Amino acid sequence: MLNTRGLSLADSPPYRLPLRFFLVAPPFAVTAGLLFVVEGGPLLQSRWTPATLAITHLLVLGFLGMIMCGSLLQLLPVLLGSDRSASLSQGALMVAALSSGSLLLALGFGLVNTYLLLTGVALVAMSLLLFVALSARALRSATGPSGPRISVAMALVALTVTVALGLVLGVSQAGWLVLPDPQAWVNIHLAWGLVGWMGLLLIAIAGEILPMFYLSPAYPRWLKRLLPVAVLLLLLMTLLQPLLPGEHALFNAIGLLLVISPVLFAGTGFILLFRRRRPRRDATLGFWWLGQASIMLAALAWLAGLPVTLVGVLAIVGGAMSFTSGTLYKIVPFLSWYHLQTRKVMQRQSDIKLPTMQGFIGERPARWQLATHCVAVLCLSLAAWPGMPTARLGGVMLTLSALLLWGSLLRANLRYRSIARSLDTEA
Amino acid sequence: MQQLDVSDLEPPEPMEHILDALADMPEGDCLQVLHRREPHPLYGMLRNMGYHWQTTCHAPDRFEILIWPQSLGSRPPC
Repeated sequence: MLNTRGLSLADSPPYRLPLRFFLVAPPFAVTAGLLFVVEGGPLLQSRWTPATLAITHLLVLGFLGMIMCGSLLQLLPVLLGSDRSASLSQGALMVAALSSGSLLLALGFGLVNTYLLLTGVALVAMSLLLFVALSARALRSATGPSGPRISVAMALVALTVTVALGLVLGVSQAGWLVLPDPQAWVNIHLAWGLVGWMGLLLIAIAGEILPMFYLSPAYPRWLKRLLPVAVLLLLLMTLLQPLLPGEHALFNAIGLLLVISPVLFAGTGFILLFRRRRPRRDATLGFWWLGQASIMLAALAWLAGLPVTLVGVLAIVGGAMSFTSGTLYKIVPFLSWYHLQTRKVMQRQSDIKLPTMQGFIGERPARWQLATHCVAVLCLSLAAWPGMPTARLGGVMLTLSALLLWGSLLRANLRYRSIARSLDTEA
Repeated sequence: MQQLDVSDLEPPEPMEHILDALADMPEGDCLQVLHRREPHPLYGMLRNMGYHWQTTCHAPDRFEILIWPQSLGSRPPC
């Protein structure tokens, strides 16, 4: 394969584009943590309380959605060689709509206010559909390996379906549409969002990031190729469930396979990281291991019939939040270094020495965040059992974890700006 | 032709080593880089620095990138 086509600096997304997404995300996790502190134990006794629904959407949209969208806009050119990125104004529009929409949606759930809920749903849908359109355009110009490109495309399909199901549920909540089995629709929305959008994107990103940053062996080819297709087919079959009311062995089997698929990927990643060629153990490695272990425990909890809120805590706080935090500690310093290096080259300043990746975000705050996040996952998991008084402590730890992440991202951003100013001054 | 194997380095070390090697490369020479993945972010930098490159994929984790100054023409001189 020959490739002499290149990327110009103008094709690469500006530093500010992903950073806006990343810097807006942690306050949503802080808010969720504080809600745990205020509400305490009852929050994790049912998945249907207004506050539980509010916290879930603060975390999956405001925190995870924001970071995943920002990361993908940046990783498409870096990992997959795309030369079409979103503009700064499109990025600002997405961030504004997603952040205000997530907040209104959470307020709508928490205060049981239909108008706030519907306004939030509309803003979130607009933001995410714009994101899907821009990512699909970028994906068309990508030249990287076909495996991750297909997984990302499938993740975007899953996000579109999740948004569509969210719109249907929002309209139904307002009383404008009567759904025959609302709980089944919520479960399908959840499966498309967690296993489809987040799971498929994780398959695409982890398959590239683990060999790239940790020098681990690559995921087996069959796993990278077949698993996303299998997950998408299973998810498509779930859409038939509301049309066939009652218990069906087929849908139980689909549910089982959808639970096993992330375990297969997380378990394989766990083993691959033990076989990595890079011996150093940093906090980011801890986040990956915590995330992989949490995903496997979430599946076990689901299979054992343990409280569904425990499955949610393990999958969202233990799994997805750990993966995104670990990834941010790698990609933000890398982007800071890369954009400064590019600026240095453009200004022909070969004498100026840039800091290493560790110079942008130190290891110590990352280790503190890992420790507080581990305690948060443990306390919130225990709080799923009636009578366990650990929800408030879990909320404190989740708040601290998010604040530490926010501090690290702000520090990297300030360091970048300071060095960029020095380069410009010397030029 | 100079050779550089960055297959066992973690980001951003491969790019740092490549840029250092290019800075030290004698005029009229070219650099052959062995990498475990295609270094997309490097390409924009090479173009801005006045280099041509040609990437050959030998295996999914084995890429060879040949880099030479644009002053030597658009075809690989080495």
